[in-house]
Amino acid sequence: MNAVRKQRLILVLLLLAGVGLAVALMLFALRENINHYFSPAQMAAGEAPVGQRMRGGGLVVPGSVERDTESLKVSFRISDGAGEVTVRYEGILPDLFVEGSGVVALGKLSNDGVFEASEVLAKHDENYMPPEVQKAIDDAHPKSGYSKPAAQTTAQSELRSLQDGS
Amino acid sequence: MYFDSWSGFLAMEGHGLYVWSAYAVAAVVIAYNLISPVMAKRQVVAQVRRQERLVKRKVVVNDFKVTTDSGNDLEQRFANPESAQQKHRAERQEESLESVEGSAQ
Amino acid sequence: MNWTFFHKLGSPKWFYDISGKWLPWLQVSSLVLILVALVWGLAFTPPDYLQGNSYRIIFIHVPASFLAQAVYMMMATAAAVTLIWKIKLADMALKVMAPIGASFCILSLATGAIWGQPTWGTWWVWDARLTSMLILLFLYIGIIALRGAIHTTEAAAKACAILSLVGVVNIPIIKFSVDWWNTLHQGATLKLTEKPSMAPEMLWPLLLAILGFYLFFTLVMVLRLRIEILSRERKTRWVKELVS
Repeated sequence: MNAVRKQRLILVLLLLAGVGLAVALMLFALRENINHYFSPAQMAAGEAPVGQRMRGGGLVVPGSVERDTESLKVSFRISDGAGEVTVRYEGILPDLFVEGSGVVALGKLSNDGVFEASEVLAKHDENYMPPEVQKAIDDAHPKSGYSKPAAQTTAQSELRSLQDGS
Repeated sequence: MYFDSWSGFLAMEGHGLYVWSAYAVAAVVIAYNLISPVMAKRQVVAQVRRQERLVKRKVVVNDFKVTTDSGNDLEQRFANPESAQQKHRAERQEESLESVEGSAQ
Repeated sequence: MNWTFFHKLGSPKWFYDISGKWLPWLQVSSLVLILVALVWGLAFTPPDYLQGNSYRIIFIHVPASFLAQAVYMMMATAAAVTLIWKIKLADMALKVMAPIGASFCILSLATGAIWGQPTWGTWWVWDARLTSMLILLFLYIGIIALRGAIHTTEAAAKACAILSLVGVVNIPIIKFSVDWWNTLHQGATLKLTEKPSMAPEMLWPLLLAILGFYLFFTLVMVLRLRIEILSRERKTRWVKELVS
């Protein structure tokens, strides 16, 4: 390669490196702020600010869902394996909201440690399979209440992804 | 076939609206990607043809200018039959081009 | 190293001549693969245990998303070649790929939003994956707009190349967004080093769809590049003879 082109190559690489470094630093600095995400354990331990808009997520604790018969009010508990927090929401829950699977809630933490959600979204994992296959897995591995195929590994990966939000 | 009937296929067990609108967007994007090269080709072909027409006109006009300039000297003009012929040819070509342009518009 | 071959690759006329032969193959293969894959995915695969039939959007959404990112990577490569070797054909490729990539980015965002509503319960959320894909769309639009705004070919080439390279840092962010941050969008189903977390009867039509769409992109890019060559080389004899 001749000298001029070599120089241009170096300039291009420097440009890439410079931009990459700038963006990496920005992302690192903003990591906490981008998400405003707090885990159930953090909320339970009082590490999350009260009254501030934030996101919280976890697996819906089986058996914790309580629906009000008169209105669309519902409450349930979410867990990340290390801690639990109660979520209160009024509205229609997404189709994929099932006990034992993941949710992401947007809202505010109240004084009494309850997460008042304005929006509840269902989170699903990256597994795709026909119903018969899931049934076969469930028959082979009796559910612990957390309805996940290959329950162990995906529950763990779910928890991991929910945990390292900060 | 995982659907019992055509209506079942369309309904997608309640998710029909979502599935079919997604596929409709895909159809639009594919159509755009197939149509835009066709349109671009037409534009380029027209551009090249137009360019060629303009070049021909310039050549003809230049020819014409060259022959009339040298014709200031009357003697030279009638002494040199070729330049007179060129002038005629040039005029005729310009006329025919103009008529072509006229009909093209 | 024999650089002459590399430079011959950069000859627009050479590319025009050789690419003409590819067109029929590209047309047939992309059409067949896409049709087979989509019909297979829509009618001949079982529904998902969790999402039911809405998951069938995946056969459009995943190919579109992969392409939106891959095309940008190709543009960044063309940009580097433009800046370093000043090969005209590379700039032509950069110019024609942008609208195609942008259309697939729009397709990815639209199908993702449509899919999100019945599954997540929302058609949009500002999580890292969706936001970075939106930024990708802005980059595409920016490159297209920049090209139109600068009227000299050389200056436009340089500007678009630089913008493409600056924006390429977004691509790894898109890819790793689901790992680095807590996102609503789930992690990768198709992974490079692990087994895919998808049943085979669903996986095969998906892989076919991805291949079909890549071939479709190649077809459209080659078509547009050939036209761009004719346009930029319109003062040469071979183009004049070809057109008339």
